[in-house]
Amino acid sequence: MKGAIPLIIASVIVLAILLSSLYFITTVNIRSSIAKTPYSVIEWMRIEEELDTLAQICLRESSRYADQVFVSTYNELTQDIDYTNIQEALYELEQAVITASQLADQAMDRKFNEILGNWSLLKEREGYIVSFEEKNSTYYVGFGEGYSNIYFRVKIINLNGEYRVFTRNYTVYFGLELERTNIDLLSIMLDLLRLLGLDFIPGVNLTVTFRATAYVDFNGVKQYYIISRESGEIIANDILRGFLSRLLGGGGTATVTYTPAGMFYYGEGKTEIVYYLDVSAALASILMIIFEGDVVGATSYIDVDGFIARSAISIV
Amino acid sequence: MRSQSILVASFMAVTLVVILLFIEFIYILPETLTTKEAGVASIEVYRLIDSRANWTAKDLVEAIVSRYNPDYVNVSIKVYDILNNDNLILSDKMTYKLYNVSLNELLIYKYAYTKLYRNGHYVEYLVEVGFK
Repeated sequence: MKGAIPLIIASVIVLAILLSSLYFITTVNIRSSIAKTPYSVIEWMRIEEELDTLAQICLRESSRYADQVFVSTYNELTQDIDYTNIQEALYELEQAVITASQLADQAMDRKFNEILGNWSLLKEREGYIVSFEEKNSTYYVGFGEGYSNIYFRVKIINLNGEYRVFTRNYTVYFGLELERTNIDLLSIMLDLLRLLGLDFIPGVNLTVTFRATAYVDFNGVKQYYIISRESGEIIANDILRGFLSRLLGGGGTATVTYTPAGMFYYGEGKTEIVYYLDVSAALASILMIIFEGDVVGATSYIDVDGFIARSAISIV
Repeated sequence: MRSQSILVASFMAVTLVVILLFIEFIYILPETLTTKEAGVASIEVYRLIDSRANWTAKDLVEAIVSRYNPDYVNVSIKVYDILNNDNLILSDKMTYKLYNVSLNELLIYKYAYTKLYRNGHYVEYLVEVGFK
């Protein structure tokens, strides 16, 4: 028996080494193989990404198309307005915004459905079954705010018969307001000038302050947009140059480029754009009439990475 | 008796070690080593396609051949425009095959991959890769 003891000890040691090395090898390798992702999961991840791109294309192309329709309809509706009666002209301009907004909304729906239809045809050719349970697009130009939105809820069945439902809701928002305070101050000054009989002298300084808000909302996640100086100039030129030249019968102001005196970002997508205008007292009086109401039928737009939203002015 | 029992015990110990080694090398190691798992998904065509935006069929064939050294590659790329009634705007095709290889003797993997780009171009890649 004495001779067996070394053998027993040796086999126990060998067994222990074997078992521990086996344990070591197997546990490490099992962990690494779990981390693999099966192809069907990758396939759904890719469709998820593709739907993001599709939603962006839909919002970009259809908002751009709707905006073109808005601009051409608005120009068509307003070209024959008689500006001798300013109150009446202002009312007609407001109506033109409302009508053009409705027509542009319909145009956006057409473009949106066309793009979704084209995409689902190609997907079905690949073997997927695609059905849109809900879909809707909106192009809205209101007074003080405007937005373009697309929404769809799609059910997709793949070649293995698995099915999933995806929702996309993308919006681009643009708010545009004009501050009344400075205009009210000007009003007091003009009254004073009128009293003194000096209301036709030039060199009345007017500060115009726009408050603009811009953001995009992708499935409930807001991304605020800081309005650039170029966009600020577009807003001023649309509202001040474009609009005033209409009211004044194309006189004088049409060639002026308005550069912002200052732009201040307040966070959460809010930017204040300040202009100094040097106008005659007579022109200032017309401005007073225009900005007397709560709304003005003049619009401007924001272009966020190709997504377009348009808003008419409201006065606050 | 004593020498017999020593013989039997040592024989049993050696047999046990041999059996354990046999089990480890034949059944356990091949299943657990990482080299075997990596071998299954060796042709990552999808990742290769994703690595570049604008493939021509010729470039893709060359890339697959230089990476995986297959005996046969067939690539077809079609680009549709979803902003313009799904018009076919590009169709590109390229085949690579060694002259002494017949398609019947190959194991051919087929891949279909589509990608939608932000400019509205829907690109369809059909790739066949054959090995002996």
